[in-house]
Amino acid sequence: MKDFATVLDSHRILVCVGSGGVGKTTTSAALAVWGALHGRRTAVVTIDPAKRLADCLGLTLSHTEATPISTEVFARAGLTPTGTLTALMVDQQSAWDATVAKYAPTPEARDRILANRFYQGLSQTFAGSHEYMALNTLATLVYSDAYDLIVLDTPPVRQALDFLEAPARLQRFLDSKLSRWFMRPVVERGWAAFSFANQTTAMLLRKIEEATGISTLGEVAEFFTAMRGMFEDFEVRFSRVSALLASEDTAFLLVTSPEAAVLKEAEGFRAGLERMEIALKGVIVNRVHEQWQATQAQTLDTKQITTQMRRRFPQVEAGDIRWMVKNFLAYQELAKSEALRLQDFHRELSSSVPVVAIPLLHESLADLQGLTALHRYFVSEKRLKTA
Amino acid sequence: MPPTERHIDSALAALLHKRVLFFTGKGGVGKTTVASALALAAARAGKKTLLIEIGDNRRAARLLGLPAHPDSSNVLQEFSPALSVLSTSGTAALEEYLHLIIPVKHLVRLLVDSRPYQYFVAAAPGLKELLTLGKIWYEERRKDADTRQPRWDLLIVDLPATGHGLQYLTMPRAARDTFQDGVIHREAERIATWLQDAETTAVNVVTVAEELPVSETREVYRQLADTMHLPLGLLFVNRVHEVPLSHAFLARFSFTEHDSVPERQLAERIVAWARTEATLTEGQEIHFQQLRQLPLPLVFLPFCFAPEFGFAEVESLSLRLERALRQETSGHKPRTKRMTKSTTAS
Repeated sequence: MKDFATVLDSHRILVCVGSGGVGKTTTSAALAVWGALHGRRTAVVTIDPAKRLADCLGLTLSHTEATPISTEVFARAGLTPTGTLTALMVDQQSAWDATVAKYAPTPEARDRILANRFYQGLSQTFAGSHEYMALNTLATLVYSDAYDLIVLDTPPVRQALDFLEAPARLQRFLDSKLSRWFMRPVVERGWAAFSFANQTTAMLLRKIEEATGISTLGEVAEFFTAMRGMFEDFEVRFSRVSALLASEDTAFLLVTSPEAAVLKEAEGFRAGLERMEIALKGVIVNRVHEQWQATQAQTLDTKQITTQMRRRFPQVEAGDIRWMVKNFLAYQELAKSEALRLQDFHRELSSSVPVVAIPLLHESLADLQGLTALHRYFVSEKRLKTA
Repeated sequence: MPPTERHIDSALAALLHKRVLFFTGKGGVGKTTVASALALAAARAGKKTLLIEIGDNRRAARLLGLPAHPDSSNVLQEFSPALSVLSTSGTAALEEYLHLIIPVKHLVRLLVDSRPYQYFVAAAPGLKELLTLGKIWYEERRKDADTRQPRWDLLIVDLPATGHGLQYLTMPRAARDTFQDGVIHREAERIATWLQDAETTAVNVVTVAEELPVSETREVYRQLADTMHLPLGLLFVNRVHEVPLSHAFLARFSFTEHDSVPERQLAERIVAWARTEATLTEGQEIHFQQLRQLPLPLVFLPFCFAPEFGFAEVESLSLRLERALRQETSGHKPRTKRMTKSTTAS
């Protein structure tokens, strides 16, 4: 059984996956602060951080440049990092624009692309761009050699695998036969550009062409023709990213909460990673309700507890005491069911995967001190007892 | 313009008189639960309701206790005569669409099985979203074969988490502007017009009283109202904690030294959890204030202690939802008992 801190210290890339709303962004930030405090040059790539979290990392919300967090900011929180911390936000629009500016063969071509309606749709609204760009940012960071630790917060998709499969999808799409779809010949000669043995398919594809409109194909073709260099480069980058994600340097961490529906999805993530032959290196369960020791052993007798409480606090109204007891027991029930579910979940995991349970914290976490407060759970890890 | 100061009764009636209700919100706030609860309430009110969930997680179907299904998407299951659940995704919707424009079954099969097609669908950004909306629109217009009446009175759509969810709603406009002519342009144009029609459509937002979901809600409101100009419905505040005791009152509980240990520990825990609940309750206030600044009627739904959130819980939430929707809204907040006593509990 590796302890969680060892996992953090022995990998260069940490990828946090999990359903939306489980505290992935906060967890990513806490991991990054850990890295900085342990002497590593750390970058955290985050997507849509909360305003207070962004503030504590020194990010403004429209910020997509890499922003180093100054030692003063750490000092104000009473911390003296031996490493560094840099935060980046993925903003698909500017990331795409920067990419176009970099690859367009001429300034004229660049302006044409930026004005191209297909491109605008692709970069602004079209889904999936986020994943491409987050991975693109990751690749840039990895190959810049400026960082020893990169923490990647993945988009809140229900299917983590959408995100992981983006490079493969794009690669398939860019498979040379396919990119030819979007090159001039298609526009000039229609689907005949395909050497289809099957005329029926060609006929059907013509249907789709009618549906989409020739002008669109023209724009798509223009975009792909002008950006050929970019896509070829993408192909290279993404095959490297894919290799990276599968390498020994990378640890996938699953972030979850103890709710039944969320754990069910976490189970799906786990199985999906396994199918992709990606090893899960650690699990973080946020917002766990703690059980009172005694409730694990015995059923609490409501009546008896109420009587005891009333004896102890005779001045308090009976109704208020009743509410307090009811509230306590409700939380105990909740805690008990969470513990059972986590045990079941734990059984599915390989025994070498450390699981960190972080109790529901009521103090604000959105500052460096709050994030650092989480570190004690990474070290003194509570092993979940498997029944 | 969304209603501001109006009686929620009329807002509920108004909501159930629409044809399509979208639900959006940050991941983890309970969108699926609220959408399912409203679907149950609509069915009880006698509306033939279709609950649509996008993607292949089938959370709503599971929540309502519907049996597992071998297919993960494009599954239509009847929950009761008045309520059905449809799980759909873009790929399935596209196949269905092709069947509509190409009436020869095996030709569609040929096309769908061809590699270029599969690459195109997998990688063409936005196509899936557009087609999913097309599918929803198709269901909205669907007529019963016998009676020629609309098949559904009300469609309730559980969108994916905010970022992706909004992409579904912006897609028709993006596609309309991207594709200059041809069927897609016309379809997208029609769907975009339909989405913006306040008579038929309302986009509802679900949130919880916590920092991230609230700031995201404000952002989503801005996008929906100012950028996308979509008609808005209600803002559901889920998992609201309510405590009859104030923090100040609970702070006065103290423990004397000579207690028998286990009993005292238990009493301490009971007080500690009451304080936790009070902290949660009081911590919500600032977020309620933020939410009240939005010109949307607020509907508060209680935090549910249920160890397992299943059908019984959704059913009880749906009754709570009906009750909440009959009360006055916009600025109503859960009542906290004022503690005026000055007894020192010790």
